[in-house]
Amino acid sequence: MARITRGLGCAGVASALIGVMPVAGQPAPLASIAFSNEVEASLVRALESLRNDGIKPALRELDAALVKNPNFRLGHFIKGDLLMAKAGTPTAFSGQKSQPELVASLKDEAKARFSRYFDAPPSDSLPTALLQLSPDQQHVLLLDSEKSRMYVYKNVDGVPSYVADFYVSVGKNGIEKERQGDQRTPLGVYQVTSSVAREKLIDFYGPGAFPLNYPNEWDKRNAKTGSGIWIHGTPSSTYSRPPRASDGCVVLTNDDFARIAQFVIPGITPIVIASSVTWQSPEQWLATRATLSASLSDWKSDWESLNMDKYLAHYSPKFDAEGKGISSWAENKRRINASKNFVNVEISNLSVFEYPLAPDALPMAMITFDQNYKSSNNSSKMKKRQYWQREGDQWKIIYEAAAS
Amino acid sequence: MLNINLSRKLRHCVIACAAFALLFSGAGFAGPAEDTKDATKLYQQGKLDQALSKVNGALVLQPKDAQGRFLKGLILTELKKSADAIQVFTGLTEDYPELPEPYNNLAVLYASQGNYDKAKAALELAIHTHPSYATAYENLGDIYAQLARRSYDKALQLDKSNLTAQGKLSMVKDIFNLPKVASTETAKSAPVQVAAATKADPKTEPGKPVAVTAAKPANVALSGNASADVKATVEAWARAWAAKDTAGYLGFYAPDFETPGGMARAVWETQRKERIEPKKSISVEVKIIKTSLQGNVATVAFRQIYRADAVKSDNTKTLRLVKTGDRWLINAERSGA
Repeated sequence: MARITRGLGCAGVASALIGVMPVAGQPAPLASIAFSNEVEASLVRALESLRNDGIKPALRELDAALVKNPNFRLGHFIKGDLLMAKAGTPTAFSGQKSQPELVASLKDEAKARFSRYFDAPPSDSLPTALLQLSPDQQHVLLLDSEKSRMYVYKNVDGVPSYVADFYVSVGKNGIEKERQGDQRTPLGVYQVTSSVAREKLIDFYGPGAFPLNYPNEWDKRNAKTGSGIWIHGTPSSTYSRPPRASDGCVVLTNDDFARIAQFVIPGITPIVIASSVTWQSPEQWLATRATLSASLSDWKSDWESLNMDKYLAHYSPKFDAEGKGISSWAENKRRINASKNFVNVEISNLSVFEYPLAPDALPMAMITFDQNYKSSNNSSKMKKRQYWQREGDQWKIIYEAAAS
Repeated sequence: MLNINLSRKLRHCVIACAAFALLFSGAGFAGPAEDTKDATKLYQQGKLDQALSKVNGALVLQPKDAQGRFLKGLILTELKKSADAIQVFTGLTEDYPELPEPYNNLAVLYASQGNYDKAKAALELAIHTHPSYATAYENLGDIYAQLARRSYDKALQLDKSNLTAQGKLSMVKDIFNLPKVASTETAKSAPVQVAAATKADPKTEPGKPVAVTAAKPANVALSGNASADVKATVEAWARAWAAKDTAGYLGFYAPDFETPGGMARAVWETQRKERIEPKKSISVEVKIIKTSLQGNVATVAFRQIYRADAVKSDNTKTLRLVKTGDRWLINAERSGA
């Protein structure tokens, strides 16, 4: 009896499709995954069907997604591969000779979207980037640019708790923005500064945009240039863009942009943009967090003790805040504090982010808090930001200033 | 096995009677079955309007006749009356849902209109009725390749109207598994066909000279034992096919080989090359069921197990070979035994 030999064809395509990314261990059972995006869910389920049940159910799954989202180019491409398998010529990302760059970018998108499910971080792990969320930061965005993924975490008593995650595109030339026009997305901790409505935008940006505060104080200290880094959607003709597509902006599908818009509060919501998110077990994560909070607490009590040697020992020789190096900072602090009988510092609304840096850089943390300062001859309230760097086994302050 | 070719005697009659038949629509001495045969002849000669009148006449008397309706569908297709042809083949699928051929031809017509989804559905029904139907598989493969092309174009945002490739699809020109009513009639004409086919009619084969010179002679050493030689020839034919040696493979076909649907030899050869050469690998296994010899004509029925890339078929086939000089050459090839 004649039939299309299903096993060979689709096993070949499935493994070729899965083969576009490294598979670490067994994938989680898909039934247990709550997908953040239904189109991506269809794509992943199609691949899973292909491995288990053959081409037909895989095509049905894809067709359902494509009817709703006719501009999902990757979906059409994979459908093409499945149909070629049915035609008796199994192929995965190799059958196309024309437009090799476009094909390669679709392959990258497939890799990013699939590896989220077939090479996922352990489910109970926590991102080291998010160590403490302040009460007003109800949600935080965390971007893993290597995986083209943006995670949304909500704040549960200062501890991040996973909400959803989405496929994202970043700059054409990747991350670590250095200067204007380098088509890179900045690496760092930023804040959504405002919200731009659809009516004020051209179609290219989709349903809206959230500008970020790039360059921040750390970028300025490092003489980085450029501006206009936004989170935004896609043009109406495009469902999703390749992993590296923008001039530096963070781009989501319009479906996903609408979802993150529910979580974003302009002026408050932080976004951490990392090249690769580091995950820790809850125990490791708590230990990392405890070390930093102990350093901050020692800094505060040493300041309150008015023991200037101990207090200034928290500052790095590399300290530099708005042009003041460590010696002028130390001299100024000694002079001010010499006349005081007491100092009392209250810290509230604390947030701690491990700062994303290039892999060879020393670990750094961005700590922001409301400081209520009282002394024998003076008092003030301010929002303060410090950057701490780990030198050996000590965390040292390398930047400190009022936060905007 | 059924063959709708006609004897040469009948051909003359057809031409002589054509005018008469036009007037009387077959309501007379030839009888509807004869009229259908005449219509087939006219169709093969490219006299499409006359063929249509003839077959319409036959269908007045036997409106349900599958053979006649099938022929009418073919004629309408050639006349580029796709909508009418679709109607005829659709009617056949409704009245004879067990026949795969009308589904196949319906699919080819849908595909020619760029309606690949409907074409795919029709071919799937053809295969459902007849799981070893190789033509439908090949056509379905082409439809899937077209659908894939369309998906790739959408993915890469290429906007082209892709109406070129449907030429590869094969219209089936014969019904192999006629319903009972028709098959009793056609059984009578079977011996005539063999006799007729031994004589080639060069006028009806315009593509022949080019094709024959292009083909390399097949190299089969003959033993003198006709039965053994025929077997060796069929096996060598299968080997050349599997080796994708299309020149060698085509060399096994006689100059008067009855091309499917009477298409020009050159067109058929091109089609075979297009089908065979792009395949990554082909295997053809032949298990001979029966060989019958009648003078210089041998009829070999065998089981053909065919695999090409992801497509696999296992069906019976009949080759008619004619001894030509010191070689046995194929002059007819049919699915089924």
